[in-house]
Amino acid sequence: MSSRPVTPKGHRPYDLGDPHTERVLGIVMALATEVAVMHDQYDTLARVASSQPTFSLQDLEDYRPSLEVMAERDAWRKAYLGRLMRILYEAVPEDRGAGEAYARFVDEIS
Amino acid sequence: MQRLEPHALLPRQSSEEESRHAFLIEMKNMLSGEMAEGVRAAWERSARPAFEKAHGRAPKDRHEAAKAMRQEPFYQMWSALGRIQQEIYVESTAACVERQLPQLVEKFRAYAAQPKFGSLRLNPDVTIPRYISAVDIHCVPGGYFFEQGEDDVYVGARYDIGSFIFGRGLRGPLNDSRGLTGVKYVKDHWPDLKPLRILDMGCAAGMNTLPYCDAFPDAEIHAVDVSAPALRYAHARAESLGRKVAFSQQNAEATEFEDESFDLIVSHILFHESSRKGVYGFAKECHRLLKPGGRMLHLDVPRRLTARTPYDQFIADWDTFNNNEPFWGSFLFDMDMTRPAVEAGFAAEDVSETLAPTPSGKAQYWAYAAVKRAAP
Repeated sequence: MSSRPVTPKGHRPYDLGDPHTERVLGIVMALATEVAVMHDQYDTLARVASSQPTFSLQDLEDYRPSLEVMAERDAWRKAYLGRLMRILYEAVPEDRGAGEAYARFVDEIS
Repeated sequence: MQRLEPHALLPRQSSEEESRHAFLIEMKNMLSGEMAEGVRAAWERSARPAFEKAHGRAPKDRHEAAKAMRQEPFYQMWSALGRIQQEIYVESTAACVERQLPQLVEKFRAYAAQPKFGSLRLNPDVTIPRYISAVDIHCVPGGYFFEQGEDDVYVGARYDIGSFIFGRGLRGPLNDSRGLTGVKYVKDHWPDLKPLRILDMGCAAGMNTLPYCDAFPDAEIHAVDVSAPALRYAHARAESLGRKVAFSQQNAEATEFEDESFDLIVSHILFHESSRKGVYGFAKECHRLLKPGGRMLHLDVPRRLTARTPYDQFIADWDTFNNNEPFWGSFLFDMDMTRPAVEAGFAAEDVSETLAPTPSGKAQYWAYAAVKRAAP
């Protein structure tokens, strides 16, 4: 077992107020990172499988994308991050009364 | 995106790690690009007007901008994501290096046993300054000094690939854009300088030391740092790349070199990771070590000269509180940099602070330079 420390010495700020919320965000982003890894792995598998009849696990590990493929993957990552972050760009609802007004509208038409 | 240029000491990233690191670089691109624009919009549309309404005036400095901005939901999310990105990439690079550490240590031993070019001298009695040991700078657990066993090179190896990711691949395939910038500065500003002895202060993994070997092949090049595991890696890395550097474990504020023994003293991103006292110490040691007519050149982050408004200074100050860089904000915005050089003995008119462009012209660094005059 490694003795490598995993927590840096120093103060860890929590910008989101509730540390639990920030920890969940950390888990989500770690998961998002691994999804991006799996996307590359699938892309590698598809490219290797379509270029040679048989291949080994080592062939997949040894595959390194060309500059062109790297650019394609960068573009995918950028778009993927855009989809992940979409909700941050929605306007924050400032009018707290809007929810009540909508509830009244639901009642009205029900 | 570029790749790191392979050399014998460079930790091998698996295909999975390369993908993970590429994603984390793209995440940082997003944070410093499109999402940073969203943070600025939150300032313009919400935080600044709210502050002005409450106080009847605009925020006067980065501290007041901070009070206004830290309440902004978009800023909070941006900042939290920035910290999380840092933590994920540090852990991934740490695991990558740890997996192959025994092989890297063996490579170091082989180079150290029979160096063909340079040398390595370690001194376990060197005093580690508190400014670099009190917290783990850049949130790297274990900081610059963690060692698990004899001849450990973990710190330097992790720094090499970590620096590439932190710098979003923009520091070049050998992570040496600062050293190349220093060389360009010397050639552009001091074309007549033909240094025979050069010292690199706070060299860490030695990535920025090596460009001086190429630019000044007749010079004897020394590099000092307080971290033994970084220096071991630096030595073996330089050997593997065929560059001659005399590395030694010394505190740049108080080296063992003789008075007036160097023509050129450089550093790269040393100042902001030190302290006010450290900066005065570096300047004093430079003046002691330089020959008359010798030059010092210290490169650091450009925002000391480019972040001017309270908002820009608040954003530039992020690393102080979120990335374990305790001296960062004070160095960037509060220090009069003429004084350390003048107190060290340089003439005020011989001290300059400018922006030095990288060779590609795509980025720039803060350049703090001075010449030591001959005694009257």
